[in-house]
Amino acid sequence: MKKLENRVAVFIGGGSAVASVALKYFIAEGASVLQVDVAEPYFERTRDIREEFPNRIHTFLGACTSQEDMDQAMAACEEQFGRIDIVCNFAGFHGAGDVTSVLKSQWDLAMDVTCLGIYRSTKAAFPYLKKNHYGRIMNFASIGGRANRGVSITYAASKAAAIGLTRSLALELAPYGITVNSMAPASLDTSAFERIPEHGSIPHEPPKGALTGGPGATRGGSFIPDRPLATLDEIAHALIFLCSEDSAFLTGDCLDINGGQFMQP
Amino acid sequence: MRLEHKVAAVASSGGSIGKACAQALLKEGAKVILLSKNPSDFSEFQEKEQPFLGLPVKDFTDEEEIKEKAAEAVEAFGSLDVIVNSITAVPEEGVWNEIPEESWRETFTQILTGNLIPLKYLVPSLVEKESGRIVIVSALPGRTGVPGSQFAYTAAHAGLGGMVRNIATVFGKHSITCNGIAAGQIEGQAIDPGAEGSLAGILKEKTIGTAQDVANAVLYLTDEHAAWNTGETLDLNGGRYMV
Repeated sequence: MKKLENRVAVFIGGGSAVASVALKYFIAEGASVLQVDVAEPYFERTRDIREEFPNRIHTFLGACTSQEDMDQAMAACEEQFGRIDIVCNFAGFHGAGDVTSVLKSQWDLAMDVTCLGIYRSTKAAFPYLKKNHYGRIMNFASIGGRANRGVSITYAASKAAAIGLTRSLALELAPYGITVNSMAPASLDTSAFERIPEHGSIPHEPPKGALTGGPGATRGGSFIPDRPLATLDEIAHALIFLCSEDSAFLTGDCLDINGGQFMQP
Repeated sequence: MRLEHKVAAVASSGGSIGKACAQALLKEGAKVILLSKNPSDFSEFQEKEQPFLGLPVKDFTDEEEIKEKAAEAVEAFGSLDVIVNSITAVPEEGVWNEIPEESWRETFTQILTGNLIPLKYLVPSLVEKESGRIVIVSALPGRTGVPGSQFAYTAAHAGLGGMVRNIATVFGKHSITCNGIAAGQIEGQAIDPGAEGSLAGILKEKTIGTAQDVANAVLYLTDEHAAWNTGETLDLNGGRYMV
């Protein structure tokens, strides 16, 4: 039997490279999907599969920085597909800078999208999940929030906050048959996709006197020979597990998927 | 006198921990600047007799205000070696999806952005010296699920862990260490009201920690000998959580 037979998923940030590949696997496993993103160009990436499955993939324009947008997206999903089972929060905002050079406006945006967007979509989906006493919420975090990586401080802190939020929501939603987990991959192979500049991003210009030379830190690749990056397909496999009935006892967890380059105690 | 010849800035949202840290650092010979949202904190110190400066703060997320206060702090004793943040906020109690956005946003921002801004304006002084110690005090709910802990409070404190690791990673090349202390329940420090009863430790006759316990951990992490500790969050919780 297919892992997501007759399940309905909402992808927040559905236009991202990760979500675009995951979509293929969700459809193969029997799900229907509402893709939610902030601008039409993001949906171009999945035009072909949408044309192939017009009744099982719909799109919706909305931002996770707006509670109203999230409420409307979930209502639209319920209306168009009759139910909601799964919410995948892919939306994230990188930002730039270290602690001495970060712009507050970019910091605020990173927090609003990467962390607080998860709360808004969860709050919006909750009544529909509660109705069926079933739900799977998956929050896409990153090793950048977990370990010693030379990422921007906006990314490190907002991803760590998203992982913390995951734990809190897991406890709140456990009584309703809803699990909440996050995933922390390391670098991904998005080479097949053309880069779309981040919405709201300000090209980073450090203020006078700020550190130059960029953050120098451990990057490292995976320890699996000839495989420095995760493929989006294997990320999708992990997503399927986290979003299926099989993972009913897994909640409040952060799945590290990084080829061995960071191991939690 | 573990911190003789050192200058330490303590940024506090006004709970018992910030004040205790300032006192402990002073006792160990440091010159101390205390930036605090609680003006009554300053009455414990004698500015004329001790190398101490108290700077009242209205809002740690206000860049203009903090830029000014940070400059004053650095000017006070000519340089800076140590920064200790103990900045948090008490969240509104209530059902997770019934708390107004204005309220949870404020909680989240006061904690996470409130820790960021003072560091933004104080850290450059450590870089100038090519050495320094930074300690960010956070709370146990940032490390693990704590039943009843409000989501915005939890998420923000978890975010502080990311901040610790990032600052440690990026500024290590300047011989600056950055560590965190995730404290469990501490006497005199307001806790997330929803988590009341979920934070106690396991030690006999000491189920709740003291501000001095946290200050002691700060002395450890800011010591010259703690030069090999960085990017770590010390779980200080009397055995409530072990990993």
